[in-house]
Amino acid sequence: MSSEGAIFDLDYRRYEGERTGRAKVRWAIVRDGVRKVLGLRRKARRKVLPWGLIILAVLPAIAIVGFQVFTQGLGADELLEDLIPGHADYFGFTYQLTFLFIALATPELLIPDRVSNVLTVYASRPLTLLDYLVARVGSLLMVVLAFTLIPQIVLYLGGAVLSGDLVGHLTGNLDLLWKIPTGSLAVFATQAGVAFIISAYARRRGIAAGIYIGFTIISGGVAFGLAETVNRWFAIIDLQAHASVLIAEIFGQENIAEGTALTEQGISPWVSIIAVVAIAAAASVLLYRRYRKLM
Amino acid sequence: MADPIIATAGLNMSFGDVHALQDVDLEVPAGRIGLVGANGAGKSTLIKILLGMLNPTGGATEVYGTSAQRHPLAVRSRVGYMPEGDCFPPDQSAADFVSYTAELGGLPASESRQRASEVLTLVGLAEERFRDLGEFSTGMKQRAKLAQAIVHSPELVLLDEPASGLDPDGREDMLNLINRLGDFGMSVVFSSHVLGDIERTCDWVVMLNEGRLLRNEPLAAIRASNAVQVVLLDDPAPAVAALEARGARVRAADRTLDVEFDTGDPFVEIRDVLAETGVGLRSLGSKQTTLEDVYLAEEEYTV
Repeated sequence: MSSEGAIFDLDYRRYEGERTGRAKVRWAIVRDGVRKVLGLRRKARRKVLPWGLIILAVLPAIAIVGFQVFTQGLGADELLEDLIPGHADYFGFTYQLTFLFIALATPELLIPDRVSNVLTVYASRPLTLLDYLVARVGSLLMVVLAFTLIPQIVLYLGGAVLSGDLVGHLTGNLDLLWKIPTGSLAVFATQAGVAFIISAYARRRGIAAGIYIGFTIISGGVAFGLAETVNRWFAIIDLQAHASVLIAEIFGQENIAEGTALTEQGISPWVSIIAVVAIAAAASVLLYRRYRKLM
Repeated sequence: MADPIIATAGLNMSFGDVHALQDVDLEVPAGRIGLVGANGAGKSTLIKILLGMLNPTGGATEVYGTSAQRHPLAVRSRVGYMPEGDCFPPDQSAADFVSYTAELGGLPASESRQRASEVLTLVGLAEERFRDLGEFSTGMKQRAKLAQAIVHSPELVLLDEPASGLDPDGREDMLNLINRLGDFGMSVVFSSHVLGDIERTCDWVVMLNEGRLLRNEPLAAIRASNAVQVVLLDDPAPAVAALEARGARVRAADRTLDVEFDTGDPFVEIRDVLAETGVGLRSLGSKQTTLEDVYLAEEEYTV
């Protein structure tokens, strides 16, 4: 053991290492956004809603796989096949939850930064407004993808294990590998734009979520009514219907979009694609213009 | 002057009819720079222009020889900024937030956490660093704001009213911290309307009033004065008249006179005048000019 002691005054140590580029800075903002949305490194009450919705989205998938395990030896496979929801049906279920998840997550990404004046800190760092906005949208995309993909992965792997032919199940359902992420993207593209615009102006998270939920529900009812009574093209203002139509097209299951204003009026799925692209483009422009005044 | 760290030429900034800055020409060396002026003088506007956060309506700004308007990101990578108002997410801990701002400043994630911890210790928040920022007092918030401004090792730190809202002890601590920043090799621009704070911490002064540049020079040059202060025992009127007759500029406040001669030895002249008029003398000495004297004199001149 050394008999000599040493006292180190750490004081202020200049950082002399390499600086990261803007891509890493954007990635830092994405990770910060994911933590915000999921309430990570925050008090427990911030975790209740997001994790409650995640559990609600995943639990039925686990239950379905469990039910399949339980009924596997009963010899009623054909009967049960009609009863047990597949990937597309499950998408139809999680889609409703995704709508709520986006309603809660988007205000969390934009409003605290603006209301608490954290934008000043971003504006003083070597990053652009576009870096900030793209990263914030990226955060939402990541959590929405995870939200929709995790239960699908549970179903997919559960089905593979239960089939007794792991490789055969995986190779026989390769189409799901593009259908599931594309479906998730369609849900995100349909819903996130309006949610971001509302959050760019609202000052309170709860109010932003309420306005978004109200707007989406009311737009569905109004679209139905006006399409029936005034002009069939009013059906296109039903935001949720566009996502249903796109998911139905991606999975080739028309029943998912049945009963929506769009299908009732016989409007082509191409119109939904154009509408979703237009909404996303308009929302991007409006969001940028709004934040250009703030940052 | 060695290479200036900040240079502006013909800088103008208007918000509608309000002229926040008018024809500001500056060259400022490295060191501790005090940016002085009353509220609304244009201090915060100048700081935001230096960061490239605002685009001036006219003129040019360079920080370390780089145009803040054309290459704002290059400037910001060398500069830290402590805004005047709050800038915190209330539900995040100081350690998390400062670490995050280090990453925004270009430090790797692995280094940021360690740096945040060190800098929060430096500003006196070691114990409180895991508490949510929303629970911080005003003094703690000011320290945390300073921490986020320096965590990424900037060469220049712009501090906008860092001592505002602090109690006397908090102000003292903040001024000591600002003094230490200079010792760490950082240049500091310290904006304040409290002239005493600038005198205690800075070696260069930029003085603004209603958007116009009043002074831009070393504090020592501002303090240097030819004036002599005379405190009299009797009615000063005869002495004032005699001094003015000898060509002196005299400013009288009650029985205290500030006397300036363009030529000759003022002490000899004053001795002769007092002997001549018989006015009693209480004290005589060189006048110590304060920033307040200069500011008031300049303000009077410009009004």
